[in-house]
Amino acid sequence: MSFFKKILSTVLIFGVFSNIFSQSTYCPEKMLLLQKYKSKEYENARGYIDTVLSQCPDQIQDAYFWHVCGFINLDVFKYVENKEAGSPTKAKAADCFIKSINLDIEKKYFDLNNKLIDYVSTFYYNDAVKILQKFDTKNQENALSYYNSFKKLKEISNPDYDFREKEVDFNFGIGMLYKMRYEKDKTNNKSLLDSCINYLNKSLEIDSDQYSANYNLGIMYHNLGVDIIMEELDIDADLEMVILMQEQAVNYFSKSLPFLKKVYQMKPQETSIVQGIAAVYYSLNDMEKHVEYMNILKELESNSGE
Amino acid sequence: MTRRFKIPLLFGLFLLITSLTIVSQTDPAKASRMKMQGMYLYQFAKNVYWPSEYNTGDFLIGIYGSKDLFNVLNNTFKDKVTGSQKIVFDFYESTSEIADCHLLFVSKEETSVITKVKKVLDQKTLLVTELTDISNSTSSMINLLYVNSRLKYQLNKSEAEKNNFKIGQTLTKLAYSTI
Repeated sequence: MSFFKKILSTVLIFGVFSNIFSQSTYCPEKMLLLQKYKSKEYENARGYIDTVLSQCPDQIQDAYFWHVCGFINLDVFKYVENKEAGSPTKAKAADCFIKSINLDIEKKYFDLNNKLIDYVSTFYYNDAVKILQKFDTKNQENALSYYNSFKKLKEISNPDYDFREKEVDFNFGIGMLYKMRYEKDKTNNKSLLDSCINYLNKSLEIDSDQYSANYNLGIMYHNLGVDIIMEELDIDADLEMVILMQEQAVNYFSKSLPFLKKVYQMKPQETSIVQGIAAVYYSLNDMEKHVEYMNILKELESNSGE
Repeated sequence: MTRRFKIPLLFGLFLLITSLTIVSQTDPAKASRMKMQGMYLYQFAKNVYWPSEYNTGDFLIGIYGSKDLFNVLNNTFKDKVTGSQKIVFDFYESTSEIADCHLLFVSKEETSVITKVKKVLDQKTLLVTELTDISNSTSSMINLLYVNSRLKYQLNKSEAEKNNFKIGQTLTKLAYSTI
Protein backbone atom coordinates (compact mmCIF):
# COMPACT_ATOMS: atom_id res chain seq x y z
CA MET A 1 0.00 0.00 0.00
CA SER A 2 1.38 3.35 -0.96
CA PHE A 3 2.14 6.16 1.43
CA PHE A 4 -0.91 8.09 0.34
CA LYS A 5 -3.18 5.07 0.61
CA LYS A 6 -2.16 4.44 4.22
CA ILE A 7 -2.86 8.03 5.08
CA LEU A 8 -6.12 8.00 3.19
CA SER A 9 -7.42 4.97 5.12
CA THR A 10 -6.84 6.85 8.35
CA VAL A 11 -8.44 9.95 6.89
CA LEU A 12 -11.47 7.99 5.70
CA ILE A 13 -12.05 6.39 9.07
CA PHE A 14 -11.64 9.77 10.71
CA GLY A 15 -13.95 11.27 8.08
CA VAL A 16 -16.74 8.77 8.66
CA PHE A 17 -16.73 9.51 12.40
CA SER A 18 -16.34 13.22 11.95
CA ASN A 19 -19.24 13.16 9.52
CA ILE A 20 -21.47 11.31 11.94
CA PHE A 21 -20.60 13.39 14.97
CA SER A 22 -19.96 16.76 13.35
CA GLN A 23 -22.36 19.62 13.67
CA SER A 24 -22.87 19.72 9.92
CA THR A 25 -26.05 18.21 8.56
CA TYR A 26 -25.96 14.44 8.15
CA CYS A 27 -25.39 13.71 4.47
CA PRO A 28 -26.23 10.15 3.36
CA GLU A 29 -24.94 10.86 -0.15
CA LYS A 30 -21.59 11.69 1.29
CA MET A 31 -21.56 8.39 3.17
CA LEU A 32 -22.31 6.64 -0.10
CA LEU A 33 -19.53 8.53 -1.78
CA LEU A 34 -17.08 7.43 0.91
CA GLN A 35 -18.30 3.87 0.65
CA LYS A 36 -17.84 3.81 -3.11
CA TYR A 37 -14.41 5.25 -2.78
CA LYS A 38 -13.35 2.78 -0.08
CA SER A 39 -14.46 -0.08 -2.31
CA LYS A 40 -12.36 1.42 -5.14
CA GLU A 41 -15.34 2.27 -7.30
CA TYR A 42 -13.64 5.50 -8.29
CA GLU A 43 -15.89 6.48 -11.19
CA ASN A 44 -18.99 5.89 -9.07
CA ALA A 45 -17.50 7.84 -6.22
CA ARG A 46 -16.75 10.70 -8.59
CA GLY A 47 -20.35 10.57 -9.80
CA TYR A 48 -21.51 11.23 -6.22
CA ILE A 49 -19.52 14.46 -5.88
CA ASP A 50 -22.12 16.58 -7.67
CA THR A 51 -24.94 14.73 -5.90
CA VAL A 52 -23.42 15.52 -2.51
CA LEU A 53 -23.01 19.17 -3.45
CA SER A 54 -26.59 19.46 -4.63
CA GLN A 55 -28.13 17.49 -1.76
CA CYS A 56 -25.87 18.74 1.02
CA PRO A 57 -24.86 22.32 0.08
CA ASP A 58 -23.03 22.85 3.38
CA GLN A 59 -20.36 20.42 2.11
CA ILE A 60 -19.14 23.18 -0.20
CA GLN A 61 -17.51 24.69 2.89
CA ASP A 62 -16.14 21.38 4.19
CA ALA A 63 -12.37 20.99 3.98
CA TYR A 64 -12.59 17.24 4.52
CA PHE A 65 -15.11 16.78 1.70
CA TRP A 66 -12.84 18.54 -0.76
CA HIS A 67 -9.86 16.62 0.52
CA VAL A 68 -11.66 13.34 -0.27
CA CYS A 69 -12.84 14.71 -3.64
CA GLY A 70 -9.18 15.36 -4.43
CA PHE A 71 -8.33 11.74 -3.64
CA ILE A 72 -11.24 10.47 -5.75
CA ASN A 73 -10.19 12.52 -8.78
CA LEU A 74 -6.58 11.58 -8.28
CA ASP A 75 -7.45 7.87 -8.26
CA VAL A 76 -9.69 8.21 -11.30
CA PHE A 77 -6.73 9.80 -13.02
CA LYS A 78 -4.35 7.07 -11.87
CA TYR A 79 -6.43 3.92 -12.13
CA VAL A 80 -9.18 4.72 -14.63
CA GLU A 81 -7.42 7.09 -16.98
CA ASN A 82 -4.04 5.39 -16.57
CA LYS A 83 -2.31 8.73 -15.91
CA GLU A 84 -3.15 10.04 -19.35
CA ALA A 85 -1.15 13.21 -20.01
CA GLY A 86 -4.00 15.37 -21.27
CA SER A 87 -6.44 14.32 -18.57
CA PRO A 88 -8.29 17.22 -16.93
CA THR A 89 -9.00 15.00 -13.91
CA LYS A 90 -5.65 15.59 -12.27
CA ALA A 91 -6.32 19.33 -12.52
CA LYS A 92 -9.65 18.70 -10.80
CA ALA A 93 -7.85 16.73 -8.09
CA ALA A 94 -5.43 19.59 -7.54
CA ASP A 95 -8.32 22.09 -7.45
CA CYS A 96 -10.04 20.00 -4.77
CA PHE A 97 -6.89 19.88 -2.63
CA ILE A 98 -6.48 23.65 -3.03
CA LYS A 99 -10.12 24.22 -2.01
CA SER A 100 -9.54 21.97 0.97
CA ILE A 101 -6.50 23.98 2.03
CA ASN A 102 -8.43 27.23 1.72
CA LEU A 103 -11.28 25.92 3.89
CA ASP A 104 -9.10 24.09 6.38
CA ILE A 105 -8.82 26.74 9.11
CA GLU A 106 -7.57 24.24 11.66
CA LYS A 107 -5.04 22.91 9.14
CA LYS A 108 -6.07 19.30 9.79
CA TYR A 109 -5.30 18.21 6.24
CA PHE A 110 -2.87 20.93 5.31
CA ASP A 111 0.32 18.85 5.14
CA LEU A 112 -1.28 16.03 3.23
CA ASN A 113 -3.07 18.39 0.82
CA ASN A 114 0.23 20.10 0.17
CA LYS A 115 2.01 16.82 -0.49
CA LEU A 116 -0.74 15.77 -2.84
CA ILE A 117 -0.62 19.05 -4.76
CA ASP A 118 3.11 18.56 -5.05
CA TYR A 119 2.50 15.01 -6.24
CA VAL A 120 0.11 16.21 -8.97
CA SER A 121 2.57 18.94 -9.98
CA THR A 122 5.18 16.26 -10.67
CA PHE A 123 2.88 14.59 -13.20
CA TYR A 124 2.58 17.88 -15.04
CA TYR A 125 6.31 18.38 -15.04
CA ASN A 126 7.08 14.88 -16.26
CA ASP A 127 4.42 15.10 -18.98
CA ALA A 128 5.97 18.33 -20.19
CA VAL A 129 9.42 16.77 -20.20
CA LYS A 130 8.19 13.68 -22.05
CA ILE A 131 7.07 15.92 -24.91
CA LEU A 132 10.49 17.56 -25.01
CA GLN A 133 12.30 14.23 -24.81
CA LYS A 134 10.30 12.79 -27.67
CA PHE A 135 10.84 15.95 -29.72
CA ASP A 136 7.08 15.89 -30.04
CA THR A 137 6.76 19.21 -31.84
CA LYS A 138 3.02 18.73 -32.38
CA ASN A 139 2.43 18.88 -28.63
CA GLN A 140 4.70 21.81 -27.93
CA GLU A 141 1.83 23.99 -26.72
CA ASN A 142 0.82 21.24 -24.31
CA ALA A 143 4.36 21.12 -22.95
CA LEU A 144 4.10 24.81 -22.15
CA SER A 145 0.69 24.40 -20.61
CA TYR A 146 1.82 21.42 -18.48
CA TYR A 147 4.90 23.27 -17.35
CA ASN A 148 2.84 26.29 -16.33
CA SER A 149 0.47 24.02 -14.39
CA PHE A 150 3.48 22.45 -12.68
CA LYS A 151 4.73 25.88 -11.66
CA LYS A 152 1.35 27.04 -10.44
CA LEU A 153 0.91 23.97 -8.23
CA LYS A 154 4.50 23.90 -7.05
CA GLU A 155 4.25 27.52 -5.96
CA ILE A 156 1.28 26.50 -3.78
CA SER A 157 2.81 23.36 -2.32
CA ASN A 158 6.25 24.84 -1.88
CA PRO A 159 6.23 28.65 -1.98
CA ASP A 160 10.01 28.83 -1.49
CA TYR A 161 10.79 26.44 -4.34
CA ASP A 162 13.66 27.64 -6.52
CA PHE A 163 12.57 27.24 -10.12
CA ARG A 164 15.81 28.51 -11.65
CA GLU A 165 17.28 25.16 -12.61
CA LYS A 166 14.03 23.92 -14.10
CA GLU A 167 13.42 27.20 -15.90
CA VAL A 168 16.85 26.95 -17.51
CA ASP A 169 16.20 23.38 -18.68
CA PHE A 170 12.65 23.95 -19.77
CA ASN A 171 13.29 27.15 -21.71
CA PHE A 172 16.17 25.41 -23.43
CA GLY A 173 13.97 22.41 -24.26
CA ILE A 174 11.17 24.53 -25.69
CA GLY A 175 13.70 26.59 -27.64
CA MET A 176 15.04 23.39 -29.19
CA LEU A 177 11.53 22.28 -30.18
CA TYR A 178 11.03 25.60 -31.94
CA LYS A 179 14.37 25.06 -33.65
CA MET A 180 13.30 21.63 -34.90
CA ARG A 181 10.01 23.00 -36.19
CA TYR A 182 11.83 25.83 -37.94
CA GLU A 183 14.30 23.47 -39.56
CA LYS A 184 11.52 21.28 -40.95
CA ASP A 185 10.36 24.16 -43.15
CA LYS A 186 12.69 27.12 -42.96
CA THR A 187 10.84 29.23 -45.50
CA ASN A 188 7.40 29.06 -43.91
CA ASN A 189 8.47 28.80 -40.30
CA LYS A 190 10.63 31.88 -40.03
CA SER A 191 8.65 33.23 -37.06
CA LEU A 192 9.47 30.09 -35.07
CA LEU A 193 13.09 31.01 -35.23
CA ASP A 194 12.50 34.15 -33.19
CA SER A 195 10.66 32.07 -30.62
CA CYS A 196 13.55 29.62 -30.53
CA ILE A 197 16.07 32.41 -29.97
CA ASN A 198 13.83 33.98 -27.31
CA TYR A 199 13.57 30.77 -25.34
CA LEU A 200 17.29 30.00 -25.53
CA ASN A 201 17.99 33.55 -24.40
CA LYS A 202 15.49 33.18 -21.55
CA SER A 203 17.46 30.14 -20.47
CA LEU A 204 20.68 32.16 -20.59
CA GLU A 205 19.14 35.08 -18.70
CA ILE A 206 18.80 32.73 -15.74
CA ASP A 207 22.12 30.99 -16.23
CA SER A 208 24.46 32.71 -18.66
CA ASP A 209 26.92 29.82 -18.37
CA GLN A 210 24.48 27.22 -19.62
CA TYR A 211 26.53 25.28 -22.14
CA SER A 212 23.86 23.89 -24.47
CA ALA A 213 21.99 27.17 -25.00
CA ASN A 214 25.24 29.02 -25.71
CA TYR A 215 26.43 26.29 -28.04
CA ASN A 216 23.18 26.09 -29.98
CA LEU A 217 22.82 29.85 -30.33
CA GLY A 218 26.39 30.06 -31.60
CA ILE A 219 25.91 27.37 -34.22
CA MET A 220 22.43 28.58 -35.11
CA TYR A 221 23.44 32.20 -35.72
CA HIS A 222 26.25 31.06 -38.00
CA ASN A 223 23.95 28.72 -39.89
CA LEU A 224 21.40 31.51 -40.22
CA GLY A 225 23.98 33.71 -41.87
CA VAL A 226 24.92 30.91 -44.25
CA ASP A 227 21.24 30.16 -44.98
CA ILE A 228 20.59 33.78 -45.93
CA ILE A 229 23.24 33.58 -48.60
CA MET A 230 22.79 29.99 -49.70
CA GLU A 231 19.02 29.62 -49.52
CA GLU A 232 17.37 33.01 -49.36
CA LEU A 233 19.52 35.08 -51.67
CA ASP A 234 18.08 34.58 -55.12
CA ILE A 235 20.74 34.53 -57.79
CA ASP A 236 18.67 36.93 -59.87
CA ALA A 237 18.38 39.41 -56.98
CA ASP A 238 19.41 42.95 -57.81
CA LEU A 239 22.62 44.41 -56.44
CA GLU A 240 20.92 46.35 -53.63
CA MET A 241 19.36 43.13 -52.39
CA VAL A 242 22.69 41.29 -52.58
CA ILE A 243 24.30 43.98 -50.41
CA LEU A 244 21.39 44.05 -47.98
CA MET A 245 21.32 40.29 -47.50
CA GLN A 246 25.07 40.16 -47.08
CA GLU A 247 24.65 42.73 -44.31
CA GLN A 248 22.08 40.51 -42.58
CA ALA A 249 24.33 37.48 -42.93
CA VAL A 250 27.33 39.31 -41.47
CA ASN A 251 25.17 40.42 -38.54
CA TYR A 252 24.32 36.81 -37.83
CA PHE A 253 27.98 35.74 -38.15
CA SER A 254 28.96 38.46 -35.69
CA LYS A 255 26.27 37.37 -33.23
CA SER A 256 27.46 33.78 -33.38
CA LEU A 257 30.99 34.43 -32.20
CA PRO A 258 30.47 35.42 -28.51
CA PHE A 259 28.36 32.31 -27.88
CA LEU A 260 30.92 29.98 -29.43
CA LYS A 261 33.77 31.73 -27.65
CA LYS A 262 31.96 31.22 -24.37
CA VAL A 263 31.53 27.47 -24.86
CA TYR A 264 35.10 27.23 -26.08
CA GLN A 265 36.19 28.53 -22.68
CA MET A 266 34.09 25.81 -21.08
CA LYS A 267 35.23 22.99 -23.35
CA PRO A 268 38.46 23.92 -25.14
CA GLN A 269 38.99 20.33 -26.28
CA GLU A 270 35.65 20.09 -28.08
CA THR A 271 36.44 19.90 -31.80
CA SER A 272 32.96 20.88 -33.00
CA ILE A 273 33.28 24.21 -31.15
CA VAL A 274 36.72 24.93 -32.61
CA GLN A 275 35.41 23.99 -36.03
CA GLY A 276 32.46 26.35 -35.51
CA ILE A 277 34.67 29.26 -34.47
CA ALA A 278 36.99 28.65 -37.43
CA ALA A 279 33.95 28.71 -39.73
CA VAL A 280 32.64 31.95 -38.23
CA TYR A 281 36.01 33.65 -38.69
CA TYR A 282 36.08 32.38 -42.26
CA SER A 283 32.62 33.83 -42.86
CA LEU A 284 33.74 37.13 -41.33
CA ASN A 285 36.81 37.03 -43.60
CA ASP A 286 39.17 37.12 -40.63
CA MET A 287 41.57 34.66 -42.22
CA GLU A 288 44.27 35.08 -39.60
CA LYS A 289 41.89 33.94 -36.86
CA HIS A 290 40.41 31.29 -39.15
CA VAL A 291 43.84 29.76 -39.65
CA GLU A 292 44.59 30.03 -35.92
CA TYR A 293 41.50 27.98 -35.04
CA MET A 294 42.01 25.53 -37.91
CA ASN A 295 45.47 24.86 -36.46
CA ILE A 296 43.96 24.31 -33.02
CA LEU A 297 41.49 21.92 -34.63
CA LYS A 298 44.25 19.99 -36.38
CA GLU A 299 46.12 19.70 -33.12
CA LEU A 300 43.05 18.46 -31.26
CA GLU A 301 42.31 15.93 -33.98
CA SER A 302 45.87 14.67 -34.08
CA ASN A 303 45.92 14.36 -30.28
CA SER A 304 42.68 12.41 -30.27
CA GLY A 305 44.10 10.07 -32.91
CA GLU A 306 47.19 9.26 -30.85
CA MET B 1 7.16 10.57 -3.22
CA THR B 2 7.37 7.91 -5.88
CA ARG B 3 7.52 10.12 -8.95
CA ARG B 4 10.82 11.63 -9.95
CA PHE B 5 11.70 14.43 -12.33
CA LYS B 6 12.88 13.30 -15.73
CA ILE B 7 14.66 16.38 -17.06
CA PRO B 8 18.28 15.19 -16.69
CA LEU B 9 17.81 12.96 -19.71
CA LEU B 10 16.92 15.93 -21.84
CA PHE B 11 20.35 17.39 -22.36
CA GLY B 12 21.98 14.18 -23.49
CA LEU B 13 19.43 13.75 -26.22
CA PHE B 14 19.64 17.33 -27.43
CA LEU B 15 23.40 17.27 -27.43
CA LEU B 16 23.39 14.11 -29.49
CA ILE B 17 21.01 15.64 -32.01
CA THR B 18 22.82 18.96 -32.27
CA SER B 19 26.24 17.38 -32.53
CA LEU B 20 25.00 15.35 -35.47
CA THR B 21 23.85 18.45 -37.31
CA ILE B 22 27.02 20.51 -37.25
CA VAL B 23 29.46 18.27 -39.07
CA SER B 24 31.95 20.34 -41.07
CA GLN B 25 31.01 23.93 -40.47
CA THR B 26 33.63 25.31 -42.84
CA ASP B 27 32.16 23.77 -45.99
CA PRO B 28 28.90 25.76 -45.91
CA ALA B 29 30.88 28.87 -44.94
CA LYS B 30 33.08 28.35 -47.97
CA ALA B 31 30.09 27.69 -50.20
CA SER B 32 28.40 30.90 -49.07
CA ARG B 33 31.58 32.89 -49.66
CA MET B 34 31.88 31.45 -53.16
CA LYS B 35 28.23 32.20 -53.86
CA MET B 36 28.68 35.84 -52.81
CA GLN B 37 31.68 36.20 -55.12
CA GLY B 38 29.64 34.58 -57.88
CA MET B 39 26.74 36.96 -57.21
CA TYR B 40 29.05 39.92 -57.71
CA LEU B 41 30.56 38.54 -60.91
CA TYR B 42 27.03 37.93 -62.21
CA GLN B 43 26.11 41.52 -61.33
CA PHE B 44 29.18 42.78 -63.20
CA ALA B 45 28.15 40.73 -66.24
CA LYS B 46 24.68 42.28 -66.08
CA ASN B 47 25.60 45.86 -65.19
CA VAL B 48 28.61 46.50 -67.37
CA TYR B 49 27.90 47.17 -71.05
CA TRP B 50 30.28 45.69 -73.57
CA PRO B 51 30.80 47.23 -76.99
CA SER B 52 28.14 45.89 -79.37
CA GLU B 53 30.58 43.75 -81.36
CA TYR B 54 30.94 41.49 -78.29
CA ASN B 55 27.24 41.01 -77.73
CA THR B 56 26.84 37.88 -79.79
CA GLY B 57 27.48 34.25 -78.98
CA ASP B 58 28.02 32.98 -75.45
CA PHE B 59 29.14 35.27 -72.67
CA LEU B 60 32.30 33.66 -71.33
CA ILE B 61 33.42 34.21 -67.75
CA GLY B 62 36.92 32.91 -67.09
CA ILE B 63 38.14 32.03 -63.63
CA TYR B 64 41.83 32.03 -62.90
CA GLY B 65 43.05 30.61 -59.63
CA SER B 66 39.92 29.52 -57.77
CA LYS B 67 38.58 26.13 -58.70
CA ASP B 68 36.03 26.36 -55.86
CA LEU B 69 34.54 29.52 -57.32
CA PHE B 70 34.47 27.98 -60.77
CA ASN B 71 32.60 24.94 -59.43
CA VAL B 72 30.03 27.08 -57.64
CA LEU B 73 29.49 29.27 -60.69
CA ASN B 74 29.18 26.28 -62.95
CA ASN B 75 26.52 24.75 -60.71
CA THR B 76 24.64 27.74 -59.39
CA PHE B 77 24.69 30.09 -62.36
CA LYS B 78 24.32 27.47 -65.04
CA ASP B 79 22.11 28.57 -67.95
CA LYS B 80 21.91 32.17 -66.76
CA VAL B 81 21.91 34.86 -69.41
CA THR B 82 22.98 38.47 -69.68
CA GLY B 83 21.08 40.35 -72.34
CA SER B 84 20.59 37.74 -75.03
CA GLN B 85 23.83 35.91 -74.28
CA LYS B 86 24.06 32.65 -72.38
CA ILE B 87 26.67 32.79 -69.63
CA VAL B 88 29.29 30.04 -69.70
CA PHE B 89 32.26 29.52 -67.43
CA ASP B 90 35.80 28.34 -67.95
CA PHE B 91 38.61 27.62 -65.51
CA TYR B 92 42.25 28.40 -66.19
CA GLU B 93 45.17 26.93 -64.35
CA SER B 94 47.84 28.94 -66.12
CA THR B 95 48.01 32.24 -68.01
CA SER B 96 48.64 30.39 -71.25
CA GLU B 97 45.18 28.83 -71.00
CA ILE B 98 43.38 32.16 -70.77
CA ALA B 99 41.07 32.33 -73.74
CA ASP B 100 38.90 34.91 -75.36
CA CYS B 101 36.61 35.71 -72.41
CA HIS B 102 34.27 38.64 -71.69
CA LEU B 103 35.13 38.74 -68.02
CA LEU B 104 38.18 37.31 -66.31
CA PHE B 105 38.31 36.85 -62.56
CA VAL B 106 41.71 36.49 -60.94
CA SER B 107 41.70 35.20 -57.37
CA LYS B 108 43.77 36.84 -54.64
CA GLU B 109 46.26 33.99 -54.71
CA GLU B 110 47.17 34.87 -58.29
CA THR B 111 47.35 38.68 -58.17
CA SER B 112 51.12 38.56 -58.48
CA VAL B 113 50.73 37.56 -62.11
CA ILE B 114 48.31 40.34 -63.03
CA THR B 115 50.81 42.05 -65.33
CA LYS B 116 51.39 38.77 -67.12
CA VAL B 117 47.66 38.17 -67.31
CA LYS B 118 46.99 41.62 -68.73
CA LYS B 119 49.43 40.94 -71.56
CA VAL B 120 47.37 38.03 -72.81
CA LEU B 121 44.00 39.79 -72.55
CA ASP B 122 42.35 41.43 -75.49
CA GLN B 123 40.08 44.49 -75.59
CA LYS B 124 37.01 42.39 -74.99
CA THR B 125 37.90 41.29 -71.47
CA LEU B 126 36.76 43.00 -68.31
CA LEU B 127 39.36 42.15 -65.69
CA VAL B 128 38.14 41.56 -62.15
CA THR B 129 40.68 40.92 -59.43
CA GLU B 130 40.23 39.80 -55.87
CA LEU B 131 42.28 41.85 -53.43
CA THR B 132 43.40 40.94 -49.97
CA ASP B 133 43.48 44.60 -49.06
CA ILE B 134 42.61 47.91 -50.69
CA SER B 135 46.19 49.08 -50.42
CA ASN B 136 47.11 46.39 -52.97
CA SER B 137 44.80 47.92 -55.54
CA THR B 138 45.61 46.69 -59.04
CA SER B 139 45.12 48.17 -62.44
CA SER B 140 42.16 45.87 -63.02
CA MET B 141 38.87 47.37 -64.03
CA ILE B 142 37.12 46.04 -60.96
CA ASN B 143 38.65 44.92 -57.68
CA LEU B 144 36.74 42.67 -55.30
CA LEU B 145 37.74 43.01 -51.67
CA TYR B 146 36.52 42.42 -48.13
CA VAL B 147 35.94 45.46 -45.98
CA ASN B 148 34.76 44.87 -42.40
CA SER B 149 33.76 41.30 -43.25
CA ARG B 150 31.69 42.43 -46.23
CA LEU B 151 32.52 41.69 -49.85
CA LYS B 152 32.69 44.99 -51.77
CA TYR B 153 34.08 46.21 -55.05
CA GLN B 154 36.21 49.04 -56.25
CA LEU B 155 35.67 50.42 -59.75
CA ASN B 156 38.52 51.59 -61.92
CA LYS B 157 36.34 53.55 -64.29
CA SER B 158 39.14 55.12 -66.30
CA GLU B 159 40.67 51.69 -66.94
CA ALA B 160 37.28 50.30 -67.99
CA GLU B 161 36.53 53.21 -70.28
CA LYS B 162 39.84 52.70 -72.08
CA ASN B 163 38.32 49.52 -73.49
CA ASN B 164 34.93 51.15 -74.12
CA PHE B 165 33.11 49.38 -71.31
CA LYS B 166 30.19 51.33 -69.89
CA ILE B 167 29.58 50.84 -66.20
CA GLY B 168 25.90 50.89 -65.21
CA GLN B 169 24.63 53.53 -62.79
CA THR B 170 23.66 51.13 -60.04
CA LEU B 171 27.07 49.51 -60.14
CA THR B 172 28.72 52.91 -59.91
CA LYS B 173 26.44 54.10 -57.13
CA LEU B 174 26.95 51.04 -54.94
CA ALA B 175 30.72 50.72 -55.40
CA TYR B 176 32.86 50.85 -52.28
CA SER B 177 35.14 53.28 -54.10
CA THR B 178 35.82 54.49 -57.59
CA ILE B 179 39.19 55.32 -59.03
